[in-house]
Amino acid sequence: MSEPWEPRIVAFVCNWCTYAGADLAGTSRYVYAPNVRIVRLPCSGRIDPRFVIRALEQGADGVLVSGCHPGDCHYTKGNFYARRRYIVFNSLLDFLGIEPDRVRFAWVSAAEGAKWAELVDLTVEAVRALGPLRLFSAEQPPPPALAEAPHPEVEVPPPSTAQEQALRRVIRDLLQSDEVEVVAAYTQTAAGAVVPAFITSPEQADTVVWNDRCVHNLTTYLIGERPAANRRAAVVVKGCDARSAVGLIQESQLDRERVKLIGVECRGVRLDGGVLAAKCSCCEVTTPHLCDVLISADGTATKPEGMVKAPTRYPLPESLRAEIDQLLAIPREQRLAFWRSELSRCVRCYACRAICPLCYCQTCAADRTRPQYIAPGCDWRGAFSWGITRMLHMTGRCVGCGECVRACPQRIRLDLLQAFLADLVAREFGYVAGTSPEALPPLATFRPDDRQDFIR
Amino acid sequence: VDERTCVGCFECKRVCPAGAIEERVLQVKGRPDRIVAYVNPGVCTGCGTCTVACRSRSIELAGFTDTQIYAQIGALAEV
Repeated sequence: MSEPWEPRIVAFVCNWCTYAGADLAGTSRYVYAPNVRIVRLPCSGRIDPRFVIRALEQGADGVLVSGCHPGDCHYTKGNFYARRRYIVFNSLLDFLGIEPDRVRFAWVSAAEGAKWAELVDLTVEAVRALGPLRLFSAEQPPPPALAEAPHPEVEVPPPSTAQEQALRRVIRDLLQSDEVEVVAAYTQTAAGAVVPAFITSPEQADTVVWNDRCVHNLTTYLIGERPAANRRAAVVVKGCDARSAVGLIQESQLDRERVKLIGVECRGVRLDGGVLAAKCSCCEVTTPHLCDVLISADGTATKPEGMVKAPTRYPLPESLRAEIDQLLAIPREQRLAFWRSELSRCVRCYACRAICPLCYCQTCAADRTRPQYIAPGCDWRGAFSWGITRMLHMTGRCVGCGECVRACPQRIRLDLLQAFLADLVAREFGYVAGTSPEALPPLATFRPDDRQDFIR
Repeated sequence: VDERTCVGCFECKRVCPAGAIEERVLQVKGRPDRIVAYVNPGVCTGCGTCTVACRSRSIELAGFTDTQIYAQIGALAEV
């Protein structure tokens, strides 16, 4: 092909405002760049961030996203929800290192034919200056190394055996009185590893352990067809696990009549190698905030009235904050190189999905073939779209239990992405996941004055 | 709504600007099995906000399904 490269822009527009505005630009005989191809949608609320990703994957060099001005939506509110999604998506793209001029957001009304023409010219020139999209090109620049973030040495005493005894008593009583059929708890194997266990008879209660190696988030067994799902069950929860339980209640996946939460006071858990989990260094819920029975550190079991002090923050340890700040401070190309090297390692084992209590969809978007949302190959394209899709689905829902990071065999820095998004949600929308079962998820609501400084 | 894959999280119900999503109890062999979303076709205005909100991809907007839009994107981005 000897033709010089021309930017290829795909535009996602709402039918009633922007599409009409573009039509007006045509009938008004404005002359503007021809590089834009339009996909007409009924409303900006129909614009899925994944369309943007898909367009970039399929060969577009830039994307334009536009709808009615807030307050003027033909369907009254669709663009308000779209605006919230844009805020998250725009920040995520920036964090990943994709140039902001490639994905432009705008509000264009049906009367703004001139604005449409200007917008297209502006976008085309900006993308022309950036050059063809190199996101999926074969050569991969070397990724920068993140400076080792300081891990605070926190002295944390292991739990007392009194707690373990009290826990065994509670479990035995629950099963003996037939209040529950199964209890999800921890046990120790012959080789000394701590693993999840499903106790179904009172005699088995003595196999339950409670120590500082009980890292697993057992609420994940409450979903789908798992051992504690759809039955009268009890689950041993630490404070971080209780956050997941709150999330499940919010999304109608946990029936509190059927499920008993056995909260245990926890000062911290240790991962392999004896290292204290990063989330524990900044834990606000050493006493689980939502449970039916609470086993304190000294071994007393009480029934809390309502919710004990709810957390106010996502567990974002200083070390993680420092790494995120580092990433935001380096140039965009280096940031992209970092994320490309991280996400390229993904082999699509979906361990992160399997272990997450909030990944309960019976048929995950990743498994669908009509349409094929996520390319199944173990290459950068597929890993990129899987990683982004999962992050978008977890925005405002992830409670920071860290299980996905522990499960990932490729040690992908999912914690950085989750923490970045959770921090964003807290700053922009004032929302923290896992605090209150009655809270409205951040993407299911909006404020008339949500930020839109990045939207033309 | 594809009732086989809907998990009843009701994110769609929360975002619907028209309030067209209702809860429906699915019966299995005469006994209530689970609660899923149901779109009242008389109320739905066809904006598609629910479609984006659905993580399990169980709800689709006729005429603007993901398959159709992806086909458009594929055609436009490459040619």
